Amino acid sequence: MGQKSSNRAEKNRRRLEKRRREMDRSKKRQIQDSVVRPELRVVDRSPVAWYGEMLEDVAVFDDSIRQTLSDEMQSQAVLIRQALEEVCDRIESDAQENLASISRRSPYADWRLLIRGLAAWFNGDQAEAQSAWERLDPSRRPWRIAAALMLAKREDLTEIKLQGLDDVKGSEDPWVTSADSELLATAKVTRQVYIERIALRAAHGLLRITPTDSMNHYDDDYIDDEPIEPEHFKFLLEYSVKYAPVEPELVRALQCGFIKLASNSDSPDFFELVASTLPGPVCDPRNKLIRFLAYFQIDLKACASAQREYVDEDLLTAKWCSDELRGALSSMLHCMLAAGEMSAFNEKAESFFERRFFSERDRAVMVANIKRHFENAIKAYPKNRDAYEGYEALIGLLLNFGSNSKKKVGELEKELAGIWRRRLECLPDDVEYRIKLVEHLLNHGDSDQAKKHVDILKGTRFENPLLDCINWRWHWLEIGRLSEKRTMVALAVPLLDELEKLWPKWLHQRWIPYLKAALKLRMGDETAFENIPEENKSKSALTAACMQLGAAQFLSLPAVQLKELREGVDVFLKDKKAISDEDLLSVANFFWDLTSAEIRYSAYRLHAPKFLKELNSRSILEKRLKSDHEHGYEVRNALLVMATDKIFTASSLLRVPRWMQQAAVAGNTTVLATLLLAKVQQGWSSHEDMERAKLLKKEVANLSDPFYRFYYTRIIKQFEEAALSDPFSNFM
Amino acid sequence: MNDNTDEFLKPFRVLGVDPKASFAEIRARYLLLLKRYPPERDAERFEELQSAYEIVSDPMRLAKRVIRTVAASEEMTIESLLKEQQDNPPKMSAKYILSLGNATGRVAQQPSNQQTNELQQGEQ
Repeated sequence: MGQKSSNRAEKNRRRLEKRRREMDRSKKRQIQDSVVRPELRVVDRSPVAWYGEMLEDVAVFDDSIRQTLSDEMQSQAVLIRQALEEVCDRIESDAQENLASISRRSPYADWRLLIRGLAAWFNGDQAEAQSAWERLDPSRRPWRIAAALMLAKREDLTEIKLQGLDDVKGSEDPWVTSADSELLATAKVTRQVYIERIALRAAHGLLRITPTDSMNHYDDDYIDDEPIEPEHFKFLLEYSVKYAPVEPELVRALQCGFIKLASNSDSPDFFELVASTLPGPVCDPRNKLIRFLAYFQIDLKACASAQREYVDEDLLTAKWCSDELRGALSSMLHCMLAAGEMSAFNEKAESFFERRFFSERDRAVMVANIKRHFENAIKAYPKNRDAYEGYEALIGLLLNFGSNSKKKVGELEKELAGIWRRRLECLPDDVEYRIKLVEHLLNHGDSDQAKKHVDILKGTRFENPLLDCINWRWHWLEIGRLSEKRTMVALAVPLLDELEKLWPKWLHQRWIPYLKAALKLRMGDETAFENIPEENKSKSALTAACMQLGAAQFLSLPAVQLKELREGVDVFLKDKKAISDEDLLSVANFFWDLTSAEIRYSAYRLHAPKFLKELNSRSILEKRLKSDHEHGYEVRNALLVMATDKIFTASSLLRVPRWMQQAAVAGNTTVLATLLLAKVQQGWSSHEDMERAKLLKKEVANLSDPFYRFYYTRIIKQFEEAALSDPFSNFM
Repeated sequence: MNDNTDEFLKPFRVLGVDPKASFAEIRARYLLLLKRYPPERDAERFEELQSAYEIVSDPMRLAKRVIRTVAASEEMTIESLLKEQQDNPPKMSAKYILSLGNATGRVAQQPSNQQTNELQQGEQ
């Protein structure tokens, strides 16, 4: 055994030695490859005027000459230079547009053509470049520039010898026939550097460096996907010196990429060496941000220190960004730290072992830290939505952590409302949070504060009809609150009148007389329900009974009166078969009013599903649907409320009448929406349902009623979300 | 353009504004460009401008872009880095472009102010 292992060690040693020798050879080769010929050091090239060159041409690059020209020529030369710089930098600006002011007779007309062709050449459109450049004067600089660039694109350029120019004089390419040896040489260098890219080819030497990481010595199979090592770094440093004058931006890009690769390496020392040696990108020149990001995943303490270094020192003096961006970056980093600590908090709270040692004091310290980060994030950039959402998530975590006392829950809810309030101060358009705040304030009896927010929301148009009637909703909740106390119920009277005026168009008004009567009853008028004018009473006795009970419950009538009204509904429950089809359809429509406006009364669940089940057993819906009855909306409302109340679901299976299945195949919008809604309630979907969803999606666009357009779209969205979360769904 | 290391700068370049520019400056520039490139004239350009403006005018989106520019991805390798560079042709400076027109064979000489004056006198 011992002999075997020593043999293996010897074999590995030899293999390692061989690899080192190979690497030395390859290194020598790489360095030889990367020797740059002086003529390729293109960056140092400068425009030099020749004796007798047109002064207007020289003025484009020589300020002292430009100053000798007339004012008009000077301004044109400046325009040309600006436009040239911007075309080269690919910057969109006015300069190129301003060239239009240069007339065709101007000496700068050739430069205008050059710039137009140059933009095309950079975009790879040689034909366009050629058409712009063919009119240039061959005795001037713009022509020579154009010729060098057109020649550089020729793949056979290297075959054209400097001494053999006579051979190519017969060529059809006018750029070749008119070229001189200097122009050809310039074109060759341009081709080598900018088209063939010798610098990039030399950079491939990085790939030829064999990994020599000590961890890999004795196991050939263990070669991580291209780990970077000090050898690569040495190569890059040498390479950078050689090629920065040739392709400075490539070198910068490789350096920045290398810093990123080093940040992924297992050695923090190596990363620190690389980050402190190489300059980072424009938005992180001193590599302070990448340092923070590198430590973020592994060490929160080191990360916090890197964050301080970045935010308090580096970012504070950064000249590359605006103040707003500075704030946003600082805010993001605070949020990241808060998220890191929250995740640590969660781990401790959820781990059976660690939870035992997670004392209340430790928890308080952690929570205080997380809150501090969120506070700092909000302070640094008050419009950072992530900060508010993270803060909200923290409070949610605390609300669900262990068993909180009622007092504690109250405190946390107050804190939550405070976060929403602060968010709305900076982000007033975040409507959802205003609605949340309104509901919180109403639930806590702060009606005046709630009203302020409702007034702000009043002026906003929402696609969601429920949000669009927020003022109506506030009146509704306020009436409910006021009627809880007998002493305040009188205040609800004008509000109920106002509520009637604000009643949404999509909601039937059949319940209003009953609500008014119930309010009178609450104020002591015992005959209020009987005195409802005949024309306002429901034709269905069952619906009337349900509306009376619902209104009475909403307006907090005493239990004795409620009992009497409940008995009025129970009478119908005792003999459901005796209820007429029309009565059942009518009550289903009332139930749909309550469901669509989200204002169900508490006794609803005790009787509504029973009446709806009875309706499902009748054939009235089928008949009405098939006959295309003038009150088709009644069938729609009934079907939707039945689907919401899971009337079509039995033992978690969907049991849909055959006539509905046939109607769905025929593409009936109401039935398609009903089936999808039922599926949403059920929580799983089949291929057939996907097809139905697609069909409904098409039909929804043609609906004229905005409420149902919104409602059906919401059903489709809910269905798609449910299907996506269903592991057995093939929904894509 | 070889600016993939500074993805952050791209939307600024599309609009032709400095990263330090104020919001008012950025907006003014954006409105000017919209007039120049209405959707009916150049839909692609219009969309490019719009998306650049959306990024540049929202410091949070910009900050996320900075993080994305700086952060390393797990999949990054030397090979992918080099491949990425293959798709980014190098930028030619205006100075280099101008130098392409040099003609040393034509007795290249920087005309001094004195020569310029002589030339001007000759012309007169």
